[in-house]
Amino acid sequence: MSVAAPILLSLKVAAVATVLTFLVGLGLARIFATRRVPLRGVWEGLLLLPLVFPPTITGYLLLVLLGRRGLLGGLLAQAGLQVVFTWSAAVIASFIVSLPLMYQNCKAALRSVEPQYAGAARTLGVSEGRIFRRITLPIAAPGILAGTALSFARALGEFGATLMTAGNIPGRTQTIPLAIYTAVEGGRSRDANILLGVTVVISFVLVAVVGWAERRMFFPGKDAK
Amino acid sequence: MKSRLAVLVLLLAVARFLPAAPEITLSAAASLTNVLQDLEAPAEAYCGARVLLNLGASGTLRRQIEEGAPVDVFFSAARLDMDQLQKKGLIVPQTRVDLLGNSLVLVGGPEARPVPGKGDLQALLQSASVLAIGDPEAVPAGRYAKEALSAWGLWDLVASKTARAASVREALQFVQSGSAPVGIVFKTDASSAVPAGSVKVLFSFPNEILSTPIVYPVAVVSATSNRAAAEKLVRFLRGDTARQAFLAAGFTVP
Repeated sequence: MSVAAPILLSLKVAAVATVLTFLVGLGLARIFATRRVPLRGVWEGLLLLPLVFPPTITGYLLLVLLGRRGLLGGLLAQAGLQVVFTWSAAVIASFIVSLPLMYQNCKAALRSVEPQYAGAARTLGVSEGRIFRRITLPIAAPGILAGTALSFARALGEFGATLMTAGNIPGRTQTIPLAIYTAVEGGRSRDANILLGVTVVISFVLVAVVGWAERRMFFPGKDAK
Repeated sequence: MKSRLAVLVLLLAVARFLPAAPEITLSAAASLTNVLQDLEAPAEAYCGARVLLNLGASGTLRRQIEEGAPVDVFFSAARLDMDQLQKKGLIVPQTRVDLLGNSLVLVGGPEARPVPGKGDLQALLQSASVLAIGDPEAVPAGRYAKEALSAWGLWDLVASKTARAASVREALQFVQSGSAPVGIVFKTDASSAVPAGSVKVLFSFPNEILSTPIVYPVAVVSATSNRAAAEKLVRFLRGDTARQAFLAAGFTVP
């Protein structure tokens, strides 16, 4: 078994999933933090479910939804699209399980921004979009960054839901956690140990990148002045 | 930027219509991982198609087929899952074959002493602090272990001191790491333990004491989009090359 394929695939899946999680998580957090939403508790509860469910259950529900006999999968099949057993299924699984982490962090970060700043800008006639981009977002950035890092880490470690929906096909949908599972089941501890080591390295790189970004936000050096 | 994106989308759209080499997906029980990976290249040559292996617990693989995942051939570690698919008409019954057999063994650490007979087995189980087995509710190896011990009236003796693992490999790991002095696993798991000699087979259970034999059935999935290649793959798995590999891995071929 090649250990390079699962590493590249895992990074690709986690990266794409994190971009999606970032956009959707931040967007939802903005809506829920600033507007009155009817049935808010219901939506937030639904959003949190993937965090409470065992990933296998999330995966099972996704499989039921996306399978050829499923509601969404049937429509996609008519359009000639197959999601189950492809790497996009792995992206969807990672996206769903990491979304609650991104959402919660973004919501807390946006809520912590003092409303007076936005109010002051509003009296000067600044548009809402510009207020969000230029005032709220920079102040909330550390919390959003933490949510993004958590989401990426969660996506990278995703196992149960991925196994269910993307399958465990070496070279195609076998991510690092699935490859470790297969190596252990097959008694190939050497491959398992290599992949384990790689996971540890990726985690430390992630921590280093987040630390660097945080330092830039809290203590912008001379170059940032 | 926008034009580059447009080109990319166009390329992807075109790529979808290019003729690709035929592919067939074989969903196989995780315990078959090693032997099937060795057989991948000869199988592809025989079938004239790329063979994609999808590996997992038999129950998970069954669920995927039930939900319409694109699987062509199913190779299960238990009759139960295959029976359920057959009842729903999701496999082609004429293509179904009980391909492999396995047996149960009691394993211990490298310094443990083999058990010559049934009487000594009872004494050993009585003195052992823990017995590692797969969870009888979910893991086929655990279900068989419970059945074998019950048949000899030994289950009540050990039921309260079993460490129940989520897979047969985990049960083996309990013994390998010294967490459990003895465990019950399949013969093929014991012989593929790494490093070799980290566990010792202390006792082999005769297959006759089990009411349901340990077999690995294989069959073509009804929804296959390439029936000819799928049937070819099943023929390959029944052929001589595969047979040699299965025997070398410790399976029995009925």
